[in-house]
Amino acid sequence: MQARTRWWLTGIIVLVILAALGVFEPLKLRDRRDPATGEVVSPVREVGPFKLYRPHFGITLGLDLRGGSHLVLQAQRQAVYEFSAAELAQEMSEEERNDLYGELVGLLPTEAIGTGKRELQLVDDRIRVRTRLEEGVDVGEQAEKIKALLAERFPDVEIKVAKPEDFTSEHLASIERIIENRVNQYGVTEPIIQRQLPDRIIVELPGVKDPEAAKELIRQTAVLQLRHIPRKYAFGDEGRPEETEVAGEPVYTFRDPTGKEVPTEQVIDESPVIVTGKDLRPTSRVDSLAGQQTQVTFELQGDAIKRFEDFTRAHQNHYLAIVMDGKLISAPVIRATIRREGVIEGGFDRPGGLEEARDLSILLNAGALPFDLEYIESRTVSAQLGQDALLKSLKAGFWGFLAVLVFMALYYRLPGLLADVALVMYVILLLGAIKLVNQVLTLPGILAVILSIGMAVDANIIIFERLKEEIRTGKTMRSAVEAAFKRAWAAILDSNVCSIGTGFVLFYFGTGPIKGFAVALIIGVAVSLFTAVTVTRLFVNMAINTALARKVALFGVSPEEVGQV
Amino acid sequence: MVDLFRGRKWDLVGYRWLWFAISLIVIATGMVFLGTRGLNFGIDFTGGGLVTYRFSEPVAPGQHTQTLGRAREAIGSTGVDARLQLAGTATVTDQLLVRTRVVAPQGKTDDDVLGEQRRAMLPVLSEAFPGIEEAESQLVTAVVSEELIWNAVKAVAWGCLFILIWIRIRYFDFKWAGSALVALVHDVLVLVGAFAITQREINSPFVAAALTVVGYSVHDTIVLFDRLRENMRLRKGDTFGETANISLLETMARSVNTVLTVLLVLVAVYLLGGASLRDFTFALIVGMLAGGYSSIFNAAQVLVVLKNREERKLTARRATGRPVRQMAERAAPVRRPARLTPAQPAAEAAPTEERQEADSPVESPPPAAQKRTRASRAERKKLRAGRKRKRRF
Repeated sequence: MQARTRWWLTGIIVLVILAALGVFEPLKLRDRRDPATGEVVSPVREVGPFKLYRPHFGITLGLDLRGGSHLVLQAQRQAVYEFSAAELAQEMSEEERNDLYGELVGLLPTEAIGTGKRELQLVDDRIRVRTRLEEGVDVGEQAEKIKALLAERFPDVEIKVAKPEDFTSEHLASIERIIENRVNQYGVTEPIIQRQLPDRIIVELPGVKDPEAAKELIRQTAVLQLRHIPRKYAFGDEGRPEETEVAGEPVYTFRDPTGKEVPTEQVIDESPVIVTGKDLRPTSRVDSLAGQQTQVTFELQGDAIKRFEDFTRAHQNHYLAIVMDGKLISAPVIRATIRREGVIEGGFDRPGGLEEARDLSILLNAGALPFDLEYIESRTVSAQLGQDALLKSLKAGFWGFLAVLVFMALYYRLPGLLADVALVMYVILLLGAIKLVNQVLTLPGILAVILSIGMAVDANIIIFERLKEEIRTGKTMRSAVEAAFKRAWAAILDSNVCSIGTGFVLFYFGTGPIKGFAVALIIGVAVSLFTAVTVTRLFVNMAINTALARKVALFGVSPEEVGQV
Repeated sequence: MVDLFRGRKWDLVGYRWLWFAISLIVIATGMVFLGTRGLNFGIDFTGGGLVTYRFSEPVAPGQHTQTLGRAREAIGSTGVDARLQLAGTATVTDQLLVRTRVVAPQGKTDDDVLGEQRRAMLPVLSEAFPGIEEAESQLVTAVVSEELIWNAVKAVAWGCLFILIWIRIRYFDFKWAGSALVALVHDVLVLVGAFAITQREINSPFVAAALTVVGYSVHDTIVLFDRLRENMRLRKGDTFGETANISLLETMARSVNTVLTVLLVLVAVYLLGGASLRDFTFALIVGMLAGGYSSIFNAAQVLVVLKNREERKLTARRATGRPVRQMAERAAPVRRPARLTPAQPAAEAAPTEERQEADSPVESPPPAAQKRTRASRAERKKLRAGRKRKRRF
């Protein structure tokens, strides 16, 4: 063997071993979680008297293979409007202001404005309206609509501000941070959270037990509000709202002074906000002691401490509404002055209540989203289905691979066998390269790997067909091999440029699993150029230096054909 | 194993109109179905919900219609607007795919609606099929499906542009590029037709499959053209049709084997792989078959037609005494028809002059070699002198 050949051979073998080590990570012997059952599995398996170490497969599998959720959220745009009127500039007592607020709520129902959600605020001498900007809604038109509604009560109303609320990359970053906090506290292993400009967040949650609950947790705007319920609906013991339980959750019934029932939404709508989630420190916790009600304890921060203290001192026997995203969680009565810490009790003692309390605490600590989010794409695969797909495609890949190996060996004889060795190396190197670029292996990715096995031998086929022809011309084996590789190379190279090019186009425009397909295909073609040409050439060169070279039959040429052309 | 194609003297070029007719019939059938039944677009492109349920036990063969009927009845009772389909591998059917129409009323999101549909469907399905479980759920809203459609269109457009540029670079002459392009269009039409006939769902992976097929088909054609070009240098006395026929026969083993190895792995995946890959794999199988066929029977043959026309034009010009400038590009000023004469035994073939070139590559015997006249030889010499100045490839 020539020194140069020996160096090449050593180099290739080392490369293959390195790739194999990278892919199968036999040295990573830590316990791992079974993707299907979530149980911790030891890597050691006892087979009879032996202890076998199950190697760890180092390539990250896509969600379609290990189960999980792929979610795309889009931030809902908002619009802000401000209106002024002469009456608003006048001095008002707190009671009057509250009444006015209640009146405004009645004036501006969501349907009339043409939005799914609106928020009202009395800021000094202005009315501020925030609406969710539904698709196809024009800000100017909406402003006029609101103005017309307000004009019934304030004839001199004027539009001061009407604009879509800015949505910047900072907003998106803060949304990402908040979602990340929530997901991490929820306890998902290896989640992926990505921003997609201008207004999207991609969340990938592998192996979540209850994907629906996780989805709900992520999406919630989580605006916590402590609102002051107007005295006319609830006050002291005699004005206590009726509290009943439906499926373990407290349901309140409010009545106005005439005894008529008032819908809870309206009551909440008419109650001014005292404290919001922004005034909370991210230190809320769930207290669940035996013999006591489960409760979520929160702590105020900044000037809210003083504000809430003053408010509770001045409003003894008044009721508070603890509202999360518009839903009333509980309506406690104020009996003492609250300084820093408050508790939320909201029927957390029913089955599943503890999880709910935990979720509430996660949401409080992670903070509220500055914008509403909506799922525009969601794909959830169960772990069983993923594993099933993985096993099936591995099985299919194995048989396909075997079929190609057998075909090559039968059709091309000795060179075919050598190409088979190169093909085995190809698969290992391909997986190693996928690992190296940190590509996630998706189901289409596996298909691309399998497909590329069929494609990789194409170069060998071109070369070997050529080789047969060259041998038939009666050349020496050495020059025949030399000529075959030399002539085939040009065709191989520029035909593969096409496959790589379309691969790149797919990579650029494809999404998710298709990207995985494209990457595997591109890497596959590139690696196959190396194994099918360089490696095979080395093997064939080594083979023709042995006695085998004299038997042309081993190359698929019958001896009588030689030199007949 | 024997070389199936070694020493065959098939006249592939002579039957080119037959090959075109076969392609046209296949494509026309597909187009008729495309016109009448249209394509079955999946949720990636239409938007909506897709819920996959897994039966606890595979559906027995012969029970499919009955199972579907029961499932349809169960889901019908919930009022969900859904389309049902059974799925699985080639042998085991164990999945029920339910595609639902998702229309969110004001104040609700699409996700809420699909959630409600799923909560409604699972209990009635478990009642009808105990042990059934939800294995997968997908929601694609209109915003996303619109983008997916655009991305698919862009991918196809850029892919085609790339291939066009590549062929243009690789083959200076538009005739070569045009022939390769005809083969591509053929492959895509066959693929689309196959999906119209089978009414399989078209999702984003279909586009990936189509582009892969197109890339591989060009790859196939390039190898063939490469040989054709090489043979044109070696066999200057032959008509283009003869050269093409010999090149086709020489590369036949390679073309067939290449498609065969790819098909081996694809069929394995189609038969054994899971339900989620079946349509993708089906598209690849159809496309690879079409691509293999089109390289041999379309690309090369269209090129022969174009080149023959060129040759006729040149001959006519020479007859009228005008200067023949383009002759340098192509070798033979031959007046013989493209059709080959019956095969001659290899041994009888006269060796060609090009043998003398130093690293003489392989040649198969030109079947009609002994028919060569002295006149054409003299002409060839003249041409060779011209070619030295301007060699086009």
